Amino acid sequence: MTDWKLAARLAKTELAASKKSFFTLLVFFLLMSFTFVNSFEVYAAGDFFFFDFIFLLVFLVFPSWMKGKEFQMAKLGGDLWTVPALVMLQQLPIKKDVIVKSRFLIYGIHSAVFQLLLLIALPTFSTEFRELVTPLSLIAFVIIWMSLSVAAGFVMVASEAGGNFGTKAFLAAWLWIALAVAAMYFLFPVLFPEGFVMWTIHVAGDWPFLVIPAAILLGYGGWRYWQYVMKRDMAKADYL
Amino acid sequence: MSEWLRIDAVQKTVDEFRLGPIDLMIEPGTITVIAGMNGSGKSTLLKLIMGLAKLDHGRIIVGGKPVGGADEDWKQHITYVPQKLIGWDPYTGEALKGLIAPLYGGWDEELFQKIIKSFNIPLSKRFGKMSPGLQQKLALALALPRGTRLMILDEPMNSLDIPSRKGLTDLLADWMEVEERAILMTSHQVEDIRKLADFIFLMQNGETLGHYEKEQLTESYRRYWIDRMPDGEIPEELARGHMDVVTAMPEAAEQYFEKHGINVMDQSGIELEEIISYLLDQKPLRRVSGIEVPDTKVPDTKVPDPKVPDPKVPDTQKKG
Amino acid sequence: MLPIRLSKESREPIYHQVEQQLKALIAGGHLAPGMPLPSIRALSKDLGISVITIRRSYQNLEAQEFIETIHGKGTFVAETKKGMMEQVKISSVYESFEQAIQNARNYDYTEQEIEQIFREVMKGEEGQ
Repeated sequence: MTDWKLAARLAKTELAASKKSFFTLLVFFLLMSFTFVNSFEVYAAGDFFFFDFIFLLVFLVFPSWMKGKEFQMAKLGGDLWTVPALVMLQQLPIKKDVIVKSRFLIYGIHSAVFQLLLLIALPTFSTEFRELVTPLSLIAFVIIWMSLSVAAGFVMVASEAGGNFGTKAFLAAWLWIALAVAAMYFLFPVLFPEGFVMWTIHVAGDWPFLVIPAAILLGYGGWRYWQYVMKRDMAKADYL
Repeated sequence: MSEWLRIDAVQKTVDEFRLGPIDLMIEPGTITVIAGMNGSGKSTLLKLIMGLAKLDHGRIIVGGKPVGGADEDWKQHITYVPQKLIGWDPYTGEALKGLIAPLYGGWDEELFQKIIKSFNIPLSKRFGKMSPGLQQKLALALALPRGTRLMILDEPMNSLDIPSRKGLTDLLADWMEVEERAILMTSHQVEDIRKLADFIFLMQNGETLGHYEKEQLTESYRRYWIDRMPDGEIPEELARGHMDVVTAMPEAAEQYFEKHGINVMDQSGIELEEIISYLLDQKPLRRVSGIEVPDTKVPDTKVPDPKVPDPKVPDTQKKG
Repeated sequence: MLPIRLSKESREPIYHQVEQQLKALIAGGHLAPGMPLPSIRALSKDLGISVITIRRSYQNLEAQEFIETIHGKGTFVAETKKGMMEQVKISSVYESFEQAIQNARNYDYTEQEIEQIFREVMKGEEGQ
């Protein structure tokens, strides 16, 4: 437990120094929430691809893309790509495990706060959305998306471990991202004919007692798995 | 004998650069200065000691524990100040102190305040907004009070002004007054080596060129002004001018002079700077008594007068 | 800072130079009994010599009872015995003469010529 305490202290130090980017993020998510609330009617009517796409981005990658420049992944000498904090903390008597935990706390706070904001704004301000949910299905819906954020979105924090990448590795990474986006574009309409977000609303309404434990399990698994990945990648990288 | 740091046959390849095999032992109570030309692998070696990369071969032991092992306790024993502090930019001095000080049980707040005052460091300024000299001063102010057994400093004097250099030299000497501490540092400044070093570890192209106790080195070289220049080489001759010769074996040289009826008019030791330049510049260095150096005997090698070294054309110096 | 001057010209090992000069300072009364000596690290920094060398000088001086180390307090000038001080003075003067004579011999002066020089120097001193 003392490990988490130290991790929390490290996270607090970074969050205190990055107040500015925290506020930028707040403004950004307020705008996003406003957009989603207003476009939900159009979405429910069947024009869904763009809404789905942005919704997924918000939960998967925006928290780390919107961070201040001094806290972002960067090329730090030679072919080393990582976040500066990782280099700094490894030069201090802090266990690698604690460094990983502190990164997860920082990312978690960055993502959870704002994502919850969005998930609460939807039923609060969109009558169309409200008509589709019950209190129980709303809880299930929120849990699905928070878990998804951890299970899929936390790849972003795990990748902060970085590594030694040449140009080739970079091109390969971008190619994979492009392929994934293309796959989503073509597969989602087939798999989720009424839209992905809509699908989650329905699933939450139809089987809440199955969905809630499943989502929690998925989220917990992701939380553990990405920590393992980050530790593994840190052991592999040369921070020279 | 106790050892604070042991480096055993360490090797590491980074792109095309090969470091090692390096062996080095640091004992408590001593200051070791690593010297070498740019790109000789000094900083990489220090980073390996700090466990920032995997070793290809060999091992590093700090406080009895292997660096990079599952037990990360060894980190408690090292203070490391790199040349470039990555990740410090967004923080003020106050925030950095808040981050670092609680990590060390033996944090010396009194010393910290003393250094802050004497170097005039503003703690409310963001690190990224400080001049390189001020950044270095803050980094050192946050290093010395940690009171670890081992302190590793990469070019600590680099961006400091003259009074601060003297200030830091005094601080480091004071820091060493506590028994059972050791410093391992790199430097390009002969003055640092002269004032602080007990041992000198020379590196060249990623390899060890030699590990010397300072006086062992200075007392092994001598310059003689003689009344007649012999045709042949004197023992371990390193350089000759019109009237003077430099040898790495004073006793043998004196016997040689006596045998050949050469009178010594005057003699002198050699400045540390000159000796280190010899060692780093000239690859075909002959054996220096009691000191391990690459034994590459090149017959008929004439080394030019050391007073006019030409670092740009080392090849002509090698082959004459 | 102690008035110690190391000679680059001398073939005398450095630890010995430090030892001799400290002895002279003590024998000459410049360093009184009970006075603290600089720490090994401080003297090492001031003179630009390794602690290994300084430690050797201190150890020799301690063995000859010129100085004493009190653990946790530092190194101090010891109460020297009268006879020992005399000895240092005598040997220091002897050493100077030996060096001067060696120098003269290097220039091939004869014994008589050296004595001649000695007398002239003495007379010059008195004249002042």
